[in-house]
Amino acid sequence: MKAKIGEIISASVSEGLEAKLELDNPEDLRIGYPIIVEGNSYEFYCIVEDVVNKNLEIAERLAGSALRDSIIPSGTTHEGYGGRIFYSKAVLRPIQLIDKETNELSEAQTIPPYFAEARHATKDDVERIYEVNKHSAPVGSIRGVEEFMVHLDFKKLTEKPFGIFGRTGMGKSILNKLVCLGILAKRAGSVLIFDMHSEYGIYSRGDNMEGLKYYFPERVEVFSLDPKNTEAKPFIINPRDIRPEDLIVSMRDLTQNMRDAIYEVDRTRGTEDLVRAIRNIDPDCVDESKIHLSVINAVKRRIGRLDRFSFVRGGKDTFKQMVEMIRDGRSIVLDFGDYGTDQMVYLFVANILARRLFNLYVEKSGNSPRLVVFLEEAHKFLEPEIASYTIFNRLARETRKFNLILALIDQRPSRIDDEVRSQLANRLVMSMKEPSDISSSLAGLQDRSMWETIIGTIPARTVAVMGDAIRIPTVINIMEYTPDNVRTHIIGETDSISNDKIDKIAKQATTVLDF
Amino acid sequence: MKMDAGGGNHGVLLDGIKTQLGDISRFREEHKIDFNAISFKGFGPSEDALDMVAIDGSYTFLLNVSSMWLGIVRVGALRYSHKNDGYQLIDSESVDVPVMISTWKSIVNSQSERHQMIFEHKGRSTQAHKDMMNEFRYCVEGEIALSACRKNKNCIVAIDGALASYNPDMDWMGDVAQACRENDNMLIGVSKDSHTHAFNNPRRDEEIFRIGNGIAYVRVPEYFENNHRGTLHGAIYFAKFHKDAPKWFRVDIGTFKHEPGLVLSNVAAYSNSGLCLGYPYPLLEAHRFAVTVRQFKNVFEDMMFDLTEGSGLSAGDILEGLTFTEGNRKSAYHEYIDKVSRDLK
Repeated sequence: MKAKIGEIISASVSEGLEAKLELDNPEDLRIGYPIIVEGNSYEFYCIVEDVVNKNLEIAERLAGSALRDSIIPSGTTHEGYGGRIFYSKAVLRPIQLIDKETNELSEAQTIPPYFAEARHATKDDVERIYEVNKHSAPVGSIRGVEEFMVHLDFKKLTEKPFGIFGRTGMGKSILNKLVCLGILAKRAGSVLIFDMHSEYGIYSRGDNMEGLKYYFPERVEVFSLDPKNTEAKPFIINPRDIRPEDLIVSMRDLTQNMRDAIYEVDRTRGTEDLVRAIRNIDPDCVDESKIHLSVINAVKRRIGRLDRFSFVRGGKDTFKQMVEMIRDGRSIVLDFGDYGTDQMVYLFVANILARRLFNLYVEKSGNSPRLVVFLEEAHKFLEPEIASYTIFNRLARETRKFNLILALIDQRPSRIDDEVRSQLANRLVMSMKEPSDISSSLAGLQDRSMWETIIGTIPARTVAVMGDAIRIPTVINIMEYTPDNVRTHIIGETDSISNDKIDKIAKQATTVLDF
Repeated sequence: MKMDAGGGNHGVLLDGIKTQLGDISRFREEHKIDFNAISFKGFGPSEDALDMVAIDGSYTFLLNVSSMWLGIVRVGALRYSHKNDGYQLIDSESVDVPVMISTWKSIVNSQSERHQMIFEHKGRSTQAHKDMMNEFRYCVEGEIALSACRKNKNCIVAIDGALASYNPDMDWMGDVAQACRENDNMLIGVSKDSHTHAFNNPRRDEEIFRIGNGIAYVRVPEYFENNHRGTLHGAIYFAKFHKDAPKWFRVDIGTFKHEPGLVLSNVAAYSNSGLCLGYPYPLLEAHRFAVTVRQFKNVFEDMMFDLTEGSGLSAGDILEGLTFTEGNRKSAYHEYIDKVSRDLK
């Protein structure tokens, strides 16, 4: 049904369109809804930027007055010679032109005539806009249109770094899972997830929702830092692989003198690993012209924190095992188990793994399979004051040519270094309230002010997607995360797994694998 | 007395004003209102009101060349129904009529009979062009009213103004009343002017009615109707259509004259809009529509420029003759002087 909402009363290529609404209730229209404006030669595909009740003197006079037994004017009570006397307006932003004859799409470089009809977009309209191809799958449906699943092109999404931004509680984890599943389902690459809250394995520890391995048992491997997790392969960091930067990034209370001291120890440690070298410093042999004794003692105390990390020990190199699996096309979920609440562990492990991956991928110079590294709390690695100590800055800027792609997940995009943010080819932005975060998440985007309004007002479980993985910037209602939805819309019937298979995986999971 | 408002005669001035105010009060008290002669009747809004067709017109001048004025008259008839606590427009009819008038007798003599009659009637006043155009507006309203009365049945037909005609040669009210009778339409004329003295008292009618409360109507004394200027086509009432309404309106009832309660209760049903409490909303809307002719002035001017070719007038003639809404030429020298004066402020 092509439901008319109003007519165009003003238009500008730079400022957008204004429609006089014929709706009984302005609440029927929301920011971000897609609207079609019927021009003569083109259909203007627009997004609702704002809904407005203009300031009326008569409204001010009537508001609060004690008129008894009278009809207070509203959108429906007083029809005038030119339609409703009290009407709302919608500010519309043309996004694409659809040629009525050829159906070709083009940029919105012109305006529709006065009184052009504005109507709700229909499923037919949006089907002409959004491309579906063998690399695409939906993460949800478009807002303001009858059920229509919007596809993202996961091949394009994983070609360059991308970001998923939104404040806590808005559904970022669900979206992450859907994106990961889309990447796997469309075989756009493998993923590496630092699973702080044990959500991505077979089942989520918190809510028992299905994880990546549930859907792709043979293509997802779960490693765990926590020895109590017997269902996963153990993850070990050999102290040999620890670099000064790993300590600096993970221990945020190191002073500059302490940092210098660590570098000094690293320079002189010989074949000893860095941690042991720090622990074994003989106070009597310290050259106090280079390192002050009190600084060494402070560093030693802080290094003591690593004693709690049972995964820091000698043994089989888990990293090599992971890399072999990635080469084999498998994805990795690194479960943090009980360490999940310790920020230091996360920063420490992620930095070490990312550095080794970076070195490996650069060395292989594009011959490694595509791997998308999902980095939650990205700003903690990419804040300007810490970014120089991590590999993530370079990872974001350089590694797309080596097939190592960074996906930044964050609720404070304003704290991510500008240069890194500018590398993001796609942005999936959920509700945020902090103006600086909203502004940063949309930096460089056309019509930024419109999107700032949208991002500031969209509800939970809604995401604005913009970039080359989607034809036009779009506000999407994230689909409910259920096995039915995932199988039907993302994996597709042919890839869905049988109950027998699930049972088999569950049995396998009880086996402890020893490496 | 030496005038010195801010100086030594201040006390004298105050005393003078006080004396005059006292006189005003005394004279007013001496003219008691004979409430026995005023028969207020209460009524309420009909719960099942007939549809209302509201008619109103307006005009704008466009051009003034050589004692001739070109204007556009716009008249609309809007049919409303009152349902579900709202006013719904269900039909409308409108016309835009270009009218050329002249205040130069030999030119008028070459024009239509209607032009000549109007000139005879209104052509000698100081603002003759406005009065004449207003007469044309009245005539076009009559044509639309007649059409509406014939087309619509069992409705209220509401005309802006009194049901009176002041020129027997152009009296269309009789035909309208007749058409209303044939179609069972209630014909009313609603005047916003209640500064009359129908009750033979120095107080204006409005002041007298202010004393009353609630929804009521009152018929004017017989002598007032008998002595009415022009030809009257209805019985004259004053009515307050809503208890919180700020104003009484004169309502002339042209048909169903002997059932004023029925007619006025139907009208009251359309008079409870918060936008114009106590005034029929359809008439407000008909007025709003009619005056849009002034908002379209630029459009009509563009039309004139497009049509100069072959008309014998040049674009320069048009430019020189453009007028303001009320017919004064834009290029008139006093307009220039006014502008300079404003700019110099």
